[in-house]
Amino acid sequence: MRFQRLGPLRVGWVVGVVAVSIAGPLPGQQAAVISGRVTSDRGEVLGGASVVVVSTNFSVTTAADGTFRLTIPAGAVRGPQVTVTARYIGHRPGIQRVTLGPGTMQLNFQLDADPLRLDEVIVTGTAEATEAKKLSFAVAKVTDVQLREVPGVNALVAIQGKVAGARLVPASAQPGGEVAIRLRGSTSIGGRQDPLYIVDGVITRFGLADISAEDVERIEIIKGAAASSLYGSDAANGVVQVFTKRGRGLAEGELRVSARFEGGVNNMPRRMEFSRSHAWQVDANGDYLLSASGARQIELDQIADNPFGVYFDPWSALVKSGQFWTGYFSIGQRRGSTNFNASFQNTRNKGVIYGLDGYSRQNFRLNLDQQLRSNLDASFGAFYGTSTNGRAAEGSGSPFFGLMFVQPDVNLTVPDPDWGFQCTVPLSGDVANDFNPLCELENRKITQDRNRFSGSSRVRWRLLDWLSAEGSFAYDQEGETFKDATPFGFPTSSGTPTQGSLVRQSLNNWQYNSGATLTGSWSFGSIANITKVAAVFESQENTALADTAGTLIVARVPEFAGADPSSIRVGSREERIRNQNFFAITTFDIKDRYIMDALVRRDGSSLFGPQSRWATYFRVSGAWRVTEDFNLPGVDELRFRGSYGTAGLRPTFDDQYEILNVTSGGFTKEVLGNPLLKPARSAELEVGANLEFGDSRFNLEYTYAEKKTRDQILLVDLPSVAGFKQQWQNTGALQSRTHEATLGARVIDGRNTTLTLNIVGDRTRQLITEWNLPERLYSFNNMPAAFFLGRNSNLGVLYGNRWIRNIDDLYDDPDKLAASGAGQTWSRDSVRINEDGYVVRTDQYGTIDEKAIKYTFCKRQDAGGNCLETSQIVQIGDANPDFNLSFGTTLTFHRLVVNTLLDWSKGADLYNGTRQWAFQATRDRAQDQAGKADADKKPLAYYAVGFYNGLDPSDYFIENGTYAKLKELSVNYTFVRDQLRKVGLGGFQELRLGIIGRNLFTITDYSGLDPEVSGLFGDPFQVRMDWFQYPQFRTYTAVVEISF
Amino acid sequence: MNSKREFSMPRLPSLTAALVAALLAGGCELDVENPNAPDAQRAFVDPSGLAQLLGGAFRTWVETRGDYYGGLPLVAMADNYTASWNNAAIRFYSSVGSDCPQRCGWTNSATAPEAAGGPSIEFLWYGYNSVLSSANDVLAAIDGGLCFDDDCAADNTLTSRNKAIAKMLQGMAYSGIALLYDQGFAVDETTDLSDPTALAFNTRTEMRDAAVAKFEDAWTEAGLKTWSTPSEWMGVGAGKSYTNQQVRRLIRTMQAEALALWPRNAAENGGVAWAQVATFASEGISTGAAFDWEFYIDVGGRECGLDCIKTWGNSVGTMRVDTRVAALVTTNHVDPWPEAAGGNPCPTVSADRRVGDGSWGPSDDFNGYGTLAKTANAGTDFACSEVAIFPAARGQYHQSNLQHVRYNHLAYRGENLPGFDGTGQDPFYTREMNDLLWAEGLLRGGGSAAQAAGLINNSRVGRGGLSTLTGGEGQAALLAALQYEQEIEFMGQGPTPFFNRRRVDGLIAGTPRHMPVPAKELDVLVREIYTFGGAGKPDMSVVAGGTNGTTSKRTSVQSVREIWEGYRARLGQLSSMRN
Repeated sequence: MRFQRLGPLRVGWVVGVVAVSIAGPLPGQQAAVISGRVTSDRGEVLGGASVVVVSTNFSVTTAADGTFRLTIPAGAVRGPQVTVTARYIGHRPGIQRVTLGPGTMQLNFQLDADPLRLDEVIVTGTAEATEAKKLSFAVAKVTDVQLREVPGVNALVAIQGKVAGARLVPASAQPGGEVAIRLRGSTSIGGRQDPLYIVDGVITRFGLADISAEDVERIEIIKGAAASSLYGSDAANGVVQVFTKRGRGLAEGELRVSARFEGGVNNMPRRMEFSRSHAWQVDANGDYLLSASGARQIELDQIADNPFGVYFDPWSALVKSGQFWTGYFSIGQRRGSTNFNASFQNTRNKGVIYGLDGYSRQNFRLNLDQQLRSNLDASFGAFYGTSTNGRAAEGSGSPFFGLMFVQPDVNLTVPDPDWGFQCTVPLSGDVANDFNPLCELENRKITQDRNRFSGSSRVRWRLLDWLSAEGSFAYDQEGETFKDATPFGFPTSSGTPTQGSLVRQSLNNWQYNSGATLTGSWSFGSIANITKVAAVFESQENTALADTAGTLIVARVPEFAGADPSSIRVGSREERIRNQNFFAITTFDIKDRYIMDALVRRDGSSLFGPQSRWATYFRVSGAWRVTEDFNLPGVDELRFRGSYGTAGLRPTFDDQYEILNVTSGGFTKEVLGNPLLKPARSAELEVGANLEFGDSRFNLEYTYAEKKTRDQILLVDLPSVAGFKQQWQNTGALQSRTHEATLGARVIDGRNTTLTLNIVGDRTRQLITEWNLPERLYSFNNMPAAFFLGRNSNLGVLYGNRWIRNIDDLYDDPDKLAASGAGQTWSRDSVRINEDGYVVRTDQYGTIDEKAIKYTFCKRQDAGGNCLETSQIVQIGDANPDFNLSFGTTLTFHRLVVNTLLDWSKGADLYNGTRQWAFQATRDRAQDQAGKADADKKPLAYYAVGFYNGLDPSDYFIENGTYAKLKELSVNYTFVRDQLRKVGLGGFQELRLGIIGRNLFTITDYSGLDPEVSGLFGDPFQVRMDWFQYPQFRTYTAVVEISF
Repeated sequence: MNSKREFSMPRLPSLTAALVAALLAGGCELDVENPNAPDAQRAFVDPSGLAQLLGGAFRTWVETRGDYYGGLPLVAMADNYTASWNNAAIRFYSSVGSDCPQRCGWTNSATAPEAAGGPSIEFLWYGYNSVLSSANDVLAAIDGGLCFDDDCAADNTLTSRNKAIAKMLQGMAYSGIALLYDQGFAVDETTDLSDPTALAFNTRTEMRDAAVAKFEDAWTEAGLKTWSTPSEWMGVGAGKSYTNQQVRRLIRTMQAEALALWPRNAAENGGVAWAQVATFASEGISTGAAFDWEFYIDVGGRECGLDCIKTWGNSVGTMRVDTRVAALVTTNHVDPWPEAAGGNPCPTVSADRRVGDGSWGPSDDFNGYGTLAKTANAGTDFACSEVAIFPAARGQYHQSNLQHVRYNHLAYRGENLPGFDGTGQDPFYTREMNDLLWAEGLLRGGGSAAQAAGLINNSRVGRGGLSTLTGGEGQAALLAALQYEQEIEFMGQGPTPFFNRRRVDGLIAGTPRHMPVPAKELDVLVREIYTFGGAGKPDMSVVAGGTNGTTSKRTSVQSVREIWEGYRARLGQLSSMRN
């Protein structure tokens, strides 16, 4: 590989030397001047419109009155004729061809409205900024208009429901948490599906949760290798590129100051429900009958149908309304060769759990563009954010976990002088998982403090009218301190003082990426070509410290100085990652109707094994604008497109290395290194069509994508004699097929009234096509191991036990079949179907031993038909929805805007592990037998032993996760200057008042708190398991936005 | 640009080029070392690093013998400790008639869920084989000329010590497999491992015999020089050092154990070379200056970090003594749990000082478990809790209210007992264990009954305060007394209680007597999967598929030959570097 031998330093110098050698002054003696005005088709002046002489360096921005003046030195362009375009957000571009001559010429533009934003330019995945209608692959875009109505709590959330094929799910909805996103189908069998994030040119590895949605100008999304090949070995999951506000859209000379305040409350729309009955013996007063030793005595029938003597409401004690408010201030200006935007945000979200400080964040951002010379632009950006988060434990041990096990006759709010609330929870006679979550929230403090700095710079140098060079440097840093402190003396639920504990973790991660690009553009008659060659270098360093103290010895000293030194454990970690990437891309535009595109990229990474350091990716794509060749009645634009590309998934830092575990006293062999480890390789074919009709009031986009990701990076078991337990290897392939459709419609397009629809839908199916390993069921933490991996299995299916509902199914078990004769153990009359529809043994029916029976089948037979192996593990669910569909509407009436977003997901199965664990402690609502007919009542063991199933997965806890959720509703009214002047507020340009609701209501049969639930570990899109997570909650706010 | 001011930057092109070049320089180095964990290249470049494999192997052995997934079901199957918790499938494997019509057999499937015992048979297999692999690496290096001393020509004491210890670890690994599994790999440093898929399994008999032979080699080697083991090999902080003579006696105890606890049923028990057991034990750890072989559990290894059987078995809220044992050691507890009576009573009644009145802890109802505050008659090994830690709905069969507290300092933070925090010395081989193996060797092997009685008395009278045996009580009475002592003295010592019940046909029908090779391993080796126990597969009647099994069509990802050759090649390079 030539570039490899050349080395990046030398490549950089070559780029620089070439750049220097071809630079020079442009000739000019008799200048041509173009002046004019840009207005909308309704006569409104358009300040801030961009007027550009195509294929030259000359451009200008209109002043607030829409006027512009553009001077072109003679000889600066080839030939007398040039094409001039005028662009303004929300409008179609104006294009005029003019003949230049000495002196001033007048050129006015009247731009038609483009409410669906079909004519805007895209930069993600392309060689250069490209009009959307000339794209040869699908690129989704979320615009500032969509973002403004209901800003997300961070930049990523705003994508939800607005982009076909993009699904978001929170692993935990705890304020400040990161949302996971998957674009189209999965690419990784064993890992997550997070796309590559780029923010203003900063390749960021540290998430988007720190970034304010209000800062975002637009988001561009490409969803798979067919479009993302340009980003190489880290882009198989797609790319999400975020652009923040820079003041570019302002009119020449305009200063825009705005302030936005939003405040309101959060609450939980649903409640956890518990059993309100018990099976203990009670006296005539309803008090427990106790044994001589003080223990409760269970009734002989073990049926929980006795009401608790008193019912405290534990849910309402724990789940409260919490504040949400945010203040955002920004100032932007365009003047001469400079435009900038600066912003500050302060936000606070208390969530819905009692006693938590919640999430608080302050962000600062400054973006600056400066034209240094007529052919040299520079851009700078800086962001700093700091946040603190007083949070709760998650999963088993979370407040919801504690709540699930406490009996309702235990008052959680009994005050305690030392600990706020009484921590002791009387042993209920059940297992000892119960604790008072209020007491823990009062005393165990978990804090997560973060700071984030990002900086970017870019210099673009137009060397010649056909050649430009660009250099960029971007830096991203995150620092985080996590502390989990339980004080000395903190009592257990049985009242015994503990010695407390302390966990402190800190990390400091940074990365930078730098790049150099040469871009040339040529025209040969009706053929235009843009070709770019580039080098991108990435360097990342992660450092982490993790210290724990298992025993504190001093009260009120929750630091290591107050810990037993022998209980202190320290750990540290450091990762250095280097990547070198080179690519070339060329795009041909023939007669504005045939688009062809090809690229090749070569990536080298320190994450690849030393014998597989480099990988090559490519893309070829094309588009045909049919309506440029054929006049189709009623059709404004029809474009067919197809693209095939490859991209990769990088291994994580440890994967290639041989790892010996250092234990107290020696080494043990853990993971065998793999010098051949290479990135997983995703190849995607994408075909689609874009149709505009009805005077461009309707836009339909359809895409079919099929991708196959081979060489999956999986941890493979080794033979025991190897000593090492496992090795990361490239094996397995995953195929996914996705249909995506988007319909944009300007249903009402009156002068004062408009109604815009944005309907997006997708359906994805994903199949493990290669799996040369034993079938695998996996789990995380102590969740039921329901997640299955095996050949020809859909990714995301759930496996476990199935409870028999049909007597015939019983005899798929060869042992039962062999004993099914008359009078034998499993004769047909030895079983019956009970009131719940389950097959149970007749001799156990109605007794304390009644239990459902697990389905058993012969998994493997020999040649003679004898069963070699039986199994009780069958598919019980599929976490993949049949389809997702979102309806976004924006209704405007004069200056009143009503915006809604309804999200519908159909058919995904969820696993309700939260309820399953409750069965062990006899706390689930299903175990409450009060109100049932006596014949229908079941004993506790029927649930607590039977369906509880030792926390192994079973179909009893599979639930339909279909939902329709009103995710966004906003109503606002904008007062303009003329109106404000009448009430003495003439100093303001605009005043916007409104109300916003998020996650307002959900229609679902799911019995958990929220159907948008996912496991806390692993791939959130496969691990759709309810596990005591912090659920999504509802937020109501009022908004005041002022600009002047 | 028309109205915009030009910056005057005459050197801009050069500056830009220089800036770009400087920025590009950062990402050039793609060879990055992992600083977070050593590889063989760094760990073994110095002989002392290779010696650390031995320390790690000891720790792995401790972790395996007391393993959570493998050990807890075994002691529950022995009706020794029990619980209704289904962690590690304890409830699943100890129950009868609930999940399975009789005792459940081993669930030998890589896709079996945890509650149905999926991982139960995996950890012990991989643990002992990990010990073996580390020992083999060290011995291969020594065979290749590695010297742990400054100059082996002048003094090879450390090399001899490490060789002896490595061979002892080979024996410990073989023995572990022989006691637990129907077959295994008796590979050592001389075995051609170029194609592990072609390796034939050794039978459990071969594994046992190989273990005894490796122990013998170690015993011989340990007699050649005078040395002590590093204290950190037996746990960091307060690990003990053992002399070569103590190690030799420990090896003898292990040899006795390998023979005595190997039988799967009473018939095989009758075929044990009991005289040899007595001979081995007569040179074991209870002879001469008797000692216990202990491993120090530090804060990093407490609470199931290393010896989960003692952690769980001695935790009053977690696991209880089975009513079978409770009825044996008291006179007022009955087996099974007397449901109608609401359980067995506290205080306990027993002549054995290890049981006493069952009082325990600093106060009544300590930690809410219905205990009685410690009295002068408190037992040393057992306590009584009136609180049944499970509702009846979880299954009465599992109820028990006698608690093992002998190793309470290793339980979950010592159950918050003052002064106990889950750390401390963990005796894996006690002098009483050796005495009882010795006594059994004498009794079953035609030795002196009086001497056997004296050995039994060491614990019976010494710890239990029971009447002294003379040897004249007769064989049956002496064996009964021996088994009583074994019930108490073997308790908490890994799966030993399981082995001890197995060989006298003391397990409930259907209980598998040993484990099959895990499905995960068979999958990797492309061999048929088989299992033992439960309905339809009586405890040990199924002939192992193993080497006779047909191979599946599945191909391994990277051949194990390639994996192994790569690693061996790197070790060879390291060896040549050292030379």
